[in-house]
Amino acid sequence: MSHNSLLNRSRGAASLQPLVLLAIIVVMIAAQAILVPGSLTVEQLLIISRQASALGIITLGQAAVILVGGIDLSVGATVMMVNIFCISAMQGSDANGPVGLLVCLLIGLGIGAVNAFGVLFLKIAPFVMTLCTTTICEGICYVYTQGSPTGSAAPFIRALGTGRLFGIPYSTLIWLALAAAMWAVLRFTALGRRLYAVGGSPRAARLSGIANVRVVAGAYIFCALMSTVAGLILTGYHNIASLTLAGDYSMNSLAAALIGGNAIEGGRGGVWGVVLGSFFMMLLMAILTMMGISQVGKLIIQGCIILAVVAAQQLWKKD
Amino acid sequence: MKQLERIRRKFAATPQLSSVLTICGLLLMVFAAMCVYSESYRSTYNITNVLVQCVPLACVSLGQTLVIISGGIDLSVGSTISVCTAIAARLMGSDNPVQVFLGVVVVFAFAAVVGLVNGAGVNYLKVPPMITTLCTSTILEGVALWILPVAGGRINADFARVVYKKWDIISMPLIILIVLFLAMRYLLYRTRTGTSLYAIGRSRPIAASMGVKTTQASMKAYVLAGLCAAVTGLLLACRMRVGDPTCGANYGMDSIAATVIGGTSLAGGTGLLSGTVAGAFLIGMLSNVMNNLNVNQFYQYVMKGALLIAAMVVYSISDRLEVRRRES
Repeated sequence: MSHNSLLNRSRGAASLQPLVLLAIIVVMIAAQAILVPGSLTVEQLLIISRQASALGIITLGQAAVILVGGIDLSVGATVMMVNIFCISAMQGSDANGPVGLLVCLLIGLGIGAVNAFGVLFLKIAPFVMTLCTTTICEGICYVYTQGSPTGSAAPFIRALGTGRLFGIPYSTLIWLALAAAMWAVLRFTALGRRLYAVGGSPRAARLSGIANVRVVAGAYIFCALMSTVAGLILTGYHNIASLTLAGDYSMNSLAAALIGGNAIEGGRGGVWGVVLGSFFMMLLMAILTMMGISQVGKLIIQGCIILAVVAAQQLWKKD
Repeated sequence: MKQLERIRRKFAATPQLSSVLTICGLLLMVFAAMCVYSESYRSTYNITNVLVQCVPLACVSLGQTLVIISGGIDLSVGSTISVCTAIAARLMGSDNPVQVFLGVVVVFAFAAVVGLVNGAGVNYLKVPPMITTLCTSTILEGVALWILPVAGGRINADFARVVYKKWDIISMPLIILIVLFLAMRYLLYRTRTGTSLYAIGRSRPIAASMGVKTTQASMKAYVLAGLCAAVTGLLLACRMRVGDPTCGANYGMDSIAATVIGGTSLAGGTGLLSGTVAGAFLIGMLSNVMNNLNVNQFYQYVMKGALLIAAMVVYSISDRLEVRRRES
């Protein structure tokens, strides 16, 4: 099967990176047990996984877009918009749930479609196009709330963000289920192969009969929908409408995807590296917070460690 | 006739030139419409102000353009600007001119070090530019807050006044921008370094096999981007007369947007400086126009995004027409 061997080569380059990352995560967990005695419990790791789930889900979407050679900076703005409109549509009652979910779904589809339209038909560079949608979405949120959002989440959304099944948070389960689904699609279906092909060489993909436009548009819409899911989870967890909830998700998801071994040029990468990348980011932040380091120290150490980790991965890759 | 032939050749050599002209046309149209519409807008005072307001973004975007042409990207310029204003506010408050001068030197030295670190991360550690500069950006955010926890400090008033001196429509920031632009232009189009930047942006292995010192050229691009960010930082510090550890936050993204609007491809290897300046002025003028029209601050976000998309659409249409013209 020649196409399989080709495919394995495009994955092979990245296949070691997740293992290195896994080793680093294990070292970090060990370091945490030593640095903050008594803090290492299963419960604490589950809490970190819950905190990582929103970033993790967004990063799955970001990874799909990066895989086809694009970039999506509007994920943070999507989270913000979902947060505000979900709370506003549901008015804190379960009865309005379906309407609220529909609104969120439309927001996700809309933002994804606009991004895809701009990139594919208006031929605007993805970086600039998604930056523009970010500005527009933020503007809409500001105009809609007049700068001071109010309200709280409906009970079932709150359950989504805080509930547990057999002790494992719902949001972690959703994250892992989505990751498994995406892995299966990338590994076993024609769609997965098309994603790699379009990212690897758009021209070759087009010449071999792949409808590039559909694949790329699908990736952007998938990414926006993932951000929508993450937005719902974050809304449930924080239980407030806020203009700052979205934080740095765009940049963090980008960093997590690249740490996980995805190549920014597209065409290379896998799902599990991305999952580990998101977990790594959150674990790092959690450990720094537990050690009681100030904001200044946190920013500096965080930057240094991420740089060191990626540098180590690059060294490993050369061997 | 000879003149015409020369202009035609120039167009053929730089395909983005027509896009730049489109952007400039757009700028002039916005400008003319505003002048007709508003009495206060066409005052010399306002026009000088508009030009001055666009200069900081234009300066940092020039450095960004060099990095993007060389096939990289620098997300850390925003934080570099913040740190520069923080350092300036700490060191340049005294009335002693020597100390003020030393402050300027320290700011530029710091920015050069930031550029070296970025360049080393990209070239020696082989970390992708986006990750390297994102990490240094995070680190610099921390450094800025460490130097200056809240906006404050002081900039020597005389120095600030000299930097913002105005003569009718010409002003000191504008002169700084023109000098910087000419220097960059010389570097990019007339020196070996400039040619190397284009070469490594197009294809690093090929450039290396042709004997280009790829590492050296790439390092230079990042250092220059840092220095340009320092110029912007000093301009902002002099405008505010204080330092602000978060004032650069938007400049990273805006500088990339200005560069791309100006016809430089994020893939590297192509691009031109005049387009970047036009792009920066377009972004700066749009916000000024909306302030002038009394558009609600919240609506400005929406308008800014929509207008940028509109500008990019005009650009891509002119690009496609250009391709069609070539093919026929």
